[in-house]
Amino acid sequence: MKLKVFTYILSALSLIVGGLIYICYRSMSLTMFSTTGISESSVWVQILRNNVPGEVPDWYVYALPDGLWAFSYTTFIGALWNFKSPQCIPIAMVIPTVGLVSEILQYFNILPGVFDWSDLFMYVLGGVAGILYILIFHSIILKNNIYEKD
Amino acid sequence: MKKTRIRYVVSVFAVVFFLVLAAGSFDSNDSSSKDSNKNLKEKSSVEEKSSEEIESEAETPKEEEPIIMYNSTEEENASDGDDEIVIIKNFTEKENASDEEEEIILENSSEGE
Repeated sequence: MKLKVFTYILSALSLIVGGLIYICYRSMSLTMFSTTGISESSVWVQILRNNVPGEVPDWYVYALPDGLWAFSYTTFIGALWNFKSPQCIPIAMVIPTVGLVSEILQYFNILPGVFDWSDLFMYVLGGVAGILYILIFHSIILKNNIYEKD
Repeated sequence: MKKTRIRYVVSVFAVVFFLVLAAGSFDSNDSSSKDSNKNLKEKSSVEEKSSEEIESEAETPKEEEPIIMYNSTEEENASDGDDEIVIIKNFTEKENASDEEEEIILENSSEGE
């Protein structure tokens, strides 16, 4: 149970950190901001934007949130399925795979957007890290025989 | 069994949520993120340059424009320095003006009465 709670917190943190990077560095014309009502005129947005380092590498702004969200998703699915790897890994791979495929489609100009190796790398890294996380906790749970009964 | 069904439902919601999140991070204005970012950087550097140019232009002293005096009096004109170019239009002399002052006025003025 503690493992699950810890994983949910880790998943939420990854999601929040990725979101904060977007709020701090990305354009406010993004659909996610316009639909959620987050605007540059908001006081807390201004505070965040004024208190972050101005010069950051491109991969940090454009690729890292993708990796964090991929990791957030996989770990969330892992916790949801009690780290039962045979059941949850195919589901946990959905978002990293979608991200990876969309990036490859961007490379061939089938999807709008700009292909970037750092995006691709971050999707793979986030997905693989999440899957490894599930596998490690799966083995720990198996060792300790603490699976919940369905 | 019921728990498994709930997990599937929550998983589907999670997939939809993250897909919406990914879709929300896309914007036609910002999409070519890197390109637009580069363009923005270039644009800002150009803007900085132009603002610097404007500042430098503002700092450089401009040529002194001639002072045009309308309906001036002799006394005011006589007090001006010799190096100033004074164009006098509709100049009215005082009757009691001295000869020296009149000479100064003639030297400084590019236009006669």
